[in-house]
Amino acid sequence: MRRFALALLACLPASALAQITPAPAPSAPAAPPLFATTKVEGTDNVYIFRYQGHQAMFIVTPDGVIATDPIGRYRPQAVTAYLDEIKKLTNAPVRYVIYSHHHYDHIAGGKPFKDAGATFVAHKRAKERLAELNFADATPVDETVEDKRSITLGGTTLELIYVGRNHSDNTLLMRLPKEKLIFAVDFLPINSVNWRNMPDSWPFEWEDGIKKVLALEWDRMIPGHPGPGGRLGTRDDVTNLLAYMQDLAAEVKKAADAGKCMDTAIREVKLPKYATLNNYENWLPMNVERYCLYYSGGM
Amino acid sequence: MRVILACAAAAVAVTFAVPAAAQAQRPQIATTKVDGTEGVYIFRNGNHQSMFIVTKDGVIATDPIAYGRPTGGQQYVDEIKKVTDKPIKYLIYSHVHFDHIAGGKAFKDAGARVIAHKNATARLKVLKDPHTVMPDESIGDKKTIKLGGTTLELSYLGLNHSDSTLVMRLPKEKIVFIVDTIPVGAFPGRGFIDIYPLETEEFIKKVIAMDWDRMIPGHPGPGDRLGTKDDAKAVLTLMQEASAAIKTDAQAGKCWDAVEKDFKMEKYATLPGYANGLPMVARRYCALWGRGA
Repeated sequence: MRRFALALLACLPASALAQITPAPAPSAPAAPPLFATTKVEGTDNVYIFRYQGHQAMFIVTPDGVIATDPIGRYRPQAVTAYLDEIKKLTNAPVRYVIYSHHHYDHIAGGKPFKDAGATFVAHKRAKERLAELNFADATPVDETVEDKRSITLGGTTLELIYVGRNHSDNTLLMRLPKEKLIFAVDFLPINSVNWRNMPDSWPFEWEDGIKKVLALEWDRMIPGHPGPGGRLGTRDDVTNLLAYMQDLAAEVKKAADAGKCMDTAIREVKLPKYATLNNYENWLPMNVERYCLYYSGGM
Repeated sequence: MRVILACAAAAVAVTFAVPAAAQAQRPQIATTKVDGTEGVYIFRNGNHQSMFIVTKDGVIATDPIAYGRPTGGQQYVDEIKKVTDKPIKYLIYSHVHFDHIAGGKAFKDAGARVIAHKNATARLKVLKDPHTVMPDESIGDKKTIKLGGTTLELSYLGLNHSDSTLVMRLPKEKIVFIVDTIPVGAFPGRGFIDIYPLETEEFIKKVIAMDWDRMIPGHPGPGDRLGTKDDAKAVLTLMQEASAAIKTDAQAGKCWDAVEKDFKMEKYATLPGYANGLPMVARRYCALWGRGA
């Protein structure tokens, strides 16, 4: 999900917040550090770089590093920190930077990686969208992917897979087959409803894409924004998201058929079964709005 | 404005423009001949309206505007029959959104050929709305229809409030029928969250460059007046101002909630729909400038 920094806390359930936030004390609890680099348990060389509320995966191999999203929107210091963190782990050069999708909060600020000699890879539509938008803070895409590409470097294979349009029209799912890990940004929120009014989205292709993700072999998912308590995602998380979206679509269709879209439906449609999902109160009405647009003939 | 842009705004516009007592007396449907024309009419049903043209060889109708109104399509056909006994030859969809194009069955039954932009047809094939008739003909960038001495140009000018909007222009009468993208005398409404903002500015510039004097909107303007090029220029200016203001906010990292709550465009405060429309405008431009979405 696309969120700003503070959303890191907002996306935690109240119970989790209670766990990490001690009872009020004279001195405020230590804020989480601005950024952190974490090795993914059970892997030899897969890392998560988090800066405030965004994170990216990188893989260190003897022949070089495969990095992903620079996450440097409004904060060029995040990108230099990212590169410095990599340099603490390896002397090997950063060979690739792979964009998860074109949205600025994930891909802005890649210049230090470019200067370090990395090749930038993204979906074909990401390159086109960035050109259309003339977004100056994105490092241009060197190589594009349409449906699938595998990158093998220093004994590690990384698959870049296009599962159709979802939260953008150019999202690449990244999968490490040996490690059974995926890196999925924004279109598979963990234990949360979808972000705001799901702008720039294709709800039903999104469902199809989720089914494709579930058909792949993987055990753990690294999200583009830290999950609850910083945990990784599971197949159950993805299955639950699909159920939520299907149930939401069915409820909004009923409301649309009853002529309730948009304002009445936005007020009335509730999915109590999913009330424990994060951001339910704030974003469910906007999720409803998105499906009302669809069922009114909109995109 | 990919959906129902002006609906809410137009509803408010009517509320503001007409005293409550008079509004209560406003009939649900009305057919009005456009001043100074021989055969151009506006059919209004509630807060939606569409254009039809009566010629000696038949009728060209547009949007059935019968969403949620099971008898609306037949009422429209009946209104046409009060004006002429000529057959309805064409039914043209302004864009894919159901609030404008649902209810075409009565036209189809009367023998009309249904025409839409190809993107509308593609969308309708997916959505399979039981109340919306599939087009018989799907067009690309341009088509000219000539019937009984009247010429009607259909032009696709790119993305705007939808990806399937046809601008309909009567060159002799210098009248255009444009639905939702250019509200007349109202602030943009909820549908603004779904527009293609940059492309819409280009669209409006292309519309302004065309030769026309009066615009029939898809939702009645204040006092039912038609639109002018000044209205189109005013919408373009409003969008450019909103875009520039929110670009600054977005680049300062203030999107989303703070901007949606605090965004103001004081010079438009008297426009109908202003208060409700502001957060929608903010939301759309936050997506554009904050995310590239």
